[in-house]
Amino acid sequence: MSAERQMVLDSAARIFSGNATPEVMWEQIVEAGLPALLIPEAEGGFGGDWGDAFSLIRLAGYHALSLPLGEAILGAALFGSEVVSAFDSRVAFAQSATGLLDGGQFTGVLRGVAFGRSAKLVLASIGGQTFGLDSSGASVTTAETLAGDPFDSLEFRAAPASLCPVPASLFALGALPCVAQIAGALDGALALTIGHANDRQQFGKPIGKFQAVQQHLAVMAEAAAAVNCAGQAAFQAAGYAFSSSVGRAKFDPEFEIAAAKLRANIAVDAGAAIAHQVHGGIGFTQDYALHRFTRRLYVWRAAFGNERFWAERVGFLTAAQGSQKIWAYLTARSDLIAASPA
Amino acid sequence: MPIIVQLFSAVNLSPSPNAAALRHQVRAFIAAHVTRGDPSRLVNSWAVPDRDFTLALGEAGYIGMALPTIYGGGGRTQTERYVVLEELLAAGAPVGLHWIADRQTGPLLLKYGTETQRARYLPGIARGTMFACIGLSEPGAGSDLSAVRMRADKVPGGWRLNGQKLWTTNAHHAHLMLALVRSERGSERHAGLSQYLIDLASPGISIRPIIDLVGGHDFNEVFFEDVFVDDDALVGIEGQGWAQATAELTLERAGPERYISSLGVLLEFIRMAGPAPDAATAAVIGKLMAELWTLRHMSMSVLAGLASGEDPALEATIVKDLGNLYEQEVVRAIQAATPADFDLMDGSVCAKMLSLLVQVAPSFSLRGGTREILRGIVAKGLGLR
Repeated sequence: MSAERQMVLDSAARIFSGNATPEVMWEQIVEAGLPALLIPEAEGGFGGDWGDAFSLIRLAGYHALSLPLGEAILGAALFGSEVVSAFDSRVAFAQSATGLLDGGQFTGVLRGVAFGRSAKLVLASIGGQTFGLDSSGASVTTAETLAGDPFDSLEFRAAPASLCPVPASLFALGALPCVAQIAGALDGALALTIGHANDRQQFGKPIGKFQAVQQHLAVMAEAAAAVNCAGQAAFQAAGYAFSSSVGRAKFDPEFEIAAAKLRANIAVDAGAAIAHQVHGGIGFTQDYALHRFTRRLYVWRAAFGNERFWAERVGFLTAAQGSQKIWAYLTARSDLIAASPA
Repeated sequence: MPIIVQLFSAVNLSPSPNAAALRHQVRAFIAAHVTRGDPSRLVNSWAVPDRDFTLALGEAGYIGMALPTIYGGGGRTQTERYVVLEELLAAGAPVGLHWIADRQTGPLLLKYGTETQRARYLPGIARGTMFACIGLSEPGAGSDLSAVRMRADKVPGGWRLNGQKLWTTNAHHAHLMLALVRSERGSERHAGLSQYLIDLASPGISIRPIIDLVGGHDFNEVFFEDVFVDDDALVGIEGQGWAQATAELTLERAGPERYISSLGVLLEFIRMAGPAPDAATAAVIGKLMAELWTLRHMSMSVLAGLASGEDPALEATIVKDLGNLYEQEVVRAIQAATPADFDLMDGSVCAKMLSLLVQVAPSFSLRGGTREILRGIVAKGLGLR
């Protein structure tokens, strides 16, 4: 890990592990300049790469935080830091949109907008077109995810819409932060579970001494490891796409994002279940911290594509290549991505 | 204090600028030398022996690629070697004869061997003329490898070996065995073990085949009765056998065999599905592809760790366990998703592959490290007291 990345993560960790309310914590995050992670230093940002972005968003998940940090970082990469700052870095992505996009205006409803009520710049997609909206004029219907985080609907009437060139669908871009958050939250839940296995004594010894418990924890650790690796690879692919969309032949990182989100979704199944199983009754209570991880894991698993959605998508992409070409397709893409500076 | 358990930190395989060109070269070589024969040889091709192919591969410089040129190796990077390996496996090329020597025996000699040992064996390994096997398991030492009982007694000028090794893959083809042997009388468990490089032509050695349940011959029993090996046969440091063998296991577990060995049947299933499959079939393919893609990145990450001098033993163990799960899941998912009128015995390519694979699949989570033991190793690495 680079020294610069470690510095950013250390200062972020101080913020994330603090006791501030979500509102105050968000201000600390903006104050620390974290939304400008991907913006070049010459333009006032951190000059970080997409691996840094993965690590930072993952860290938020590790602290069981649900914040629109990924959206802010990606928003800055899409629109530039000046635009995003003009909106106080309050960016949101809509999971779905119905309505009409015509003549530079949008009339309709955006649904599944995490933190929509406090967003100022919202990205949505209709008919394959991704656009940004100033949401100050929107009519907000508030709701919550099953984990209790804001998950709102926004209604617009003839709102000015700025078309946004994107290297991947908005749905795929929205999945990226979820993957990083899942990776972090699985690691966080695993740390909590290992602590419990070491502390909880039954039959005269820590339950972590029992082979059945050890085998469970190994399976959970393997799931977390897989998502961490898949997530980094997906972010790297996205980074390549963003860098290549300026001048080079276009590269759509959908395959890599799809595979990573799918892998992450599947990992949540085993990871959350094992965490609860090893914790026993205490892990099922409101007071104990585990549900802050697991209920958010369920939300992130379902957001921007469930298992069925991405499994079918990866399958169709694979079938379109065909059995003779799919291996060459996979290797050519990873060679391309690896050969470019992040 | 929360334990930061992130494994597979962002170590990327350092990009090889000529990866694409190298792939092209290897694919051309494979096209020229590998004929698609019996489909059942395509899956688990890493175990299929072919003397001519191994020799041609050696001549082309594709064996011992990362060994130094002074020993006849290619002096290439780990990345380049990895590109060649995965292309060979993906194509189902018959690499069985030299696979073990290339994957671990050679690198182990490079790390622990004397100059004499390196000069004597590495050139042959790189040429594809010197084959090796691994002497670890015994009748009483499977999951509990430290229960090894084969003995090495010091005699003038060398050692006298007595005992037996079991499940020795490739012993019937190999020239050499790298064996873990108890060299200190009365020692227990991990202590007092040493590694020996044994010439299998030595008097006193007998090799008996173990035929598996599909009639295949991979495994062997190897018996040692008063076998003399000279002092030069000792590899590394006397008494350090356990640590050395453990390092060797990381090499064994870091390779791409795990997730590529069943690629053949997945590709056949994709071919059968056609360019526009129904959603359910697409979903089966999608899940298997996503895991393949993930495992490939995890495997490359382990290799990057090795190449930069780290000891990614825990990561390699994780990749092995996930890889074995995947190999078995490919077989399970495809046999479950073949068309309702599919006949496992109709002689089609898919049927031949599946009917072999469903029978050998249980061995995937046994050979090279039993699943439960691997998971115990992972658990130990997680900070469980």
